[in-house]
Amino acid sequence: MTTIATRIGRLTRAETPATTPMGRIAGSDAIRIEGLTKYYGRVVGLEHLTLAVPQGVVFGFLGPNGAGKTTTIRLLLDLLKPSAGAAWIGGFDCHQRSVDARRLVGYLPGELPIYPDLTGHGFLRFLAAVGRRPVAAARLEWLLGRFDVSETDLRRRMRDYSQGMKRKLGIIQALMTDAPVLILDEPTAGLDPLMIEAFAETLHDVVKQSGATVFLSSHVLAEVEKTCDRIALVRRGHLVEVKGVEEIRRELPKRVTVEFSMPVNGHLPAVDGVAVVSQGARSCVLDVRGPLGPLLAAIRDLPVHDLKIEPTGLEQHVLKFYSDEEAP
Amino acid sequence: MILTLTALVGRSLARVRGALLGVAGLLSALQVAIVLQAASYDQPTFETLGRLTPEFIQRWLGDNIVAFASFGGLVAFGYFHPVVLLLVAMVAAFVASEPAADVEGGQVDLLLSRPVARHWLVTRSAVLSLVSPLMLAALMIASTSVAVAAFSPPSARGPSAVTLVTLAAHLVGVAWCFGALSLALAGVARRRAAAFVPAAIAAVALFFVNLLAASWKPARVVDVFSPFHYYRGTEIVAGLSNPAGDLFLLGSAAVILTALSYWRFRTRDL
Repeated sequence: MTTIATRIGRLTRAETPATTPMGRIAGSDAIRIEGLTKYYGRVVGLEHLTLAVPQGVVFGFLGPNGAGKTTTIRLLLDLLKPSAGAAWIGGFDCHQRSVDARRLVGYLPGELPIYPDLTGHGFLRFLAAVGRRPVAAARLEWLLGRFDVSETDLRRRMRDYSQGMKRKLGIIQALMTDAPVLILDEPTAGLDPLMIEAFAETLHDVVKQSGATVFLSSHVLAEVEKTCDRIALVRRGHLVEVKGVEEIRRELPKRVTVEFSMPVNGHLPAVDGVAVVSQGARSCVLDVRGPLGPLLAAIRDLPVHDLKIEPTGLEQHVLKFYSDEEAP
Repeated sequence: MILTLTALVGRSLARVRGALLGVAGLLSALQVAIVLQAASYDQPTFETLGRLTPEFIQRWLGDNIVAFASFGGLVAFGYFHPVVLLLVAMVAAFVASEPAADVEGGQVDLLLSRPVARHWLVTRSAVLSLVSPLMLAALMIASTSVAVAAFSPPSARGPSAVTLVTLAAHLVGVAWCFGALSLALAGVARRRAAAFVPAAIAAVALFFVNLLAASWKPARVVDVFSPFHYYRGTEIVAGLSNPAGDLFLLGSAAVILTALSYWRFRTRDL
C-alpha cells in the first residue's frame, strides 16, 4: 500500500535537485554571529550579539520574554534586516547569501502558521515542494511514527487540528528534510509529556545519526537541561552568558537540607564554600560548593536528625539571570 | 525555481478558489443575462433606449451611443459595465495583496525559512494579479459566445471576436493596474486589509472620477491618472479607439507598481 509519506517522498525526490547540500557542513561553526544588532526605532531588539555554535551541538538559546531570542532567529533567517553586524550559517552570510544559508536550515517557528483549508498531508506536500529539498519517505515515516501521527490525522484539515497536533506537524516539517542546521523556537510548547519525551528522543537520534546542529529557544528549562549541550542566556537584547551545560552543572552548588532533633539556633558553624539559604530553629538549607566533607565535619556534634542532598538544576542558575534587574 | 513558483501559485489559487469561482459564476451569468436582455429588444427599442439614457451617461458613453444602442453594442456593454469593471478590479486587488496576508498570518516565516528568495512571493502575487482577471475575462468571452450563439435573434449581429478580445484585454489591463497597486501596498503592509482596502477604495473613487470627468471639467485633471480613462468601451465597439496605446499605458502603470513592490518587499523587515 502506498502511504502518504511515500507519496511525499516520491514527489520531492523527483522534483528536487540531486545536488542539494545535505549532511555535515563545511567549516567548524554551524552558526556564527558577530556584533549582530537590531533596533526597532528607538527600541533595542538585539545589541552586539556575538556567539558561535559549533557543529553537532544542541545549543539552547534562553532568555525571558522580549530578551531578543526570536529577533535573533528572525535575523538568522533574513526575515529581519540587521541594523549592524552579521551572521553566518554554514559559512553563508545570512543577509547577503540568505538563500544559500536557508538551504541548510530546518525551522520550527514559535507559532506555527497554518493553511486552514489544507490537510496535514497537503501541508507537508506543499512545504516539501516549496523547499526543493529531498524528503526521504523512510525518514518521514519514522517521524510520523515517532510523533504518533496517523494517516487518518494527515487526511484531516488543519483547521480541525488541536494545538498539540499542529505542533507535532510543525516539528515534522522542520525535521523531514534532514537539514544540517535545525532552528527550533519553543519546540515543545503545547505538547503533552509523552510527546515532549518523544521530541527529546527524536532530537537525540537526529543529532547522533546526521550530526545536525540544533539552535533551540525554549522557556522549559528542564527540557533545555535534558537536551542541550551548551546554552546562551540573553536579556534585554544583550548576551549575558554562554556556557556548557556540564560546566554549569559542575559549578552549581548542591542544596543540602539538614534537620535537627532539637533547636540549634545560632549554633551552625561557618564553613568555607557553604552558603546559608534559609535557617530555622530545627532545620537549615545550605548551598554547598565543592566537597561535602568540611560541612559534615562541622555538623558532626550537632543533633542531626536527617540530611537531604539535592543537585541544583539549571533552573536555579538561569532564574538568577532572569530575576536580576541589573543590566549586564 | 519554476516548481517553487508553481507550488506557490497553486496554493494561492486554492486559497481563493471559492471567491474566484463565485465571481466567475456571477460574471458568466451576467453576460448571459445581458445577451438574453439584448435578444428581447428589437431595433426601435434600442433607439428608444438610446434616447431614454440619462444625459450624464450619454456624455460618459460619448458620441458612440449609436454603437451602444444595438444588439452587439448592448452585449459588449457587459465588458465595461460598472459592476463588471469594479468586481474584476477587486478580485485582482485581493489576490495581489497576499504578501501582506503572508506576513499577517505568519506563513512568510515558513516559506522564507526555506531556500526561497523573497521576490518569489511577489512574483507569485504579480502572476495572480494578471492571471485572475485573464481567467475571468476568458470565461466571460466564452459565456458571451455561447449565449450569443444560443439566444441571439436571426437578424441580430453580436460583437465580433476582435471587439470582445479587445474589450476583455482592456478589462484585464484596468484590473491589473489595481492589482499592481494592491501589490505595491502589500510590499510594505503588515496586514492584508492595509493593502487591499486602499486599492479597492481607489478603484471605486477613480471610477467615479472617470464618470464625473465626462461632464465636469475639473475632474478631468485627476481622470488622466485613472485606469478607467484608458478603457473607452464604446469607442472600441465603434472601432474608433487606439487600443494598443491605451493597453500600453495600462500595462506600463502595472509594471511600474509591481516593480515598486519588488523593491519594497526585498528591503523590508517581515
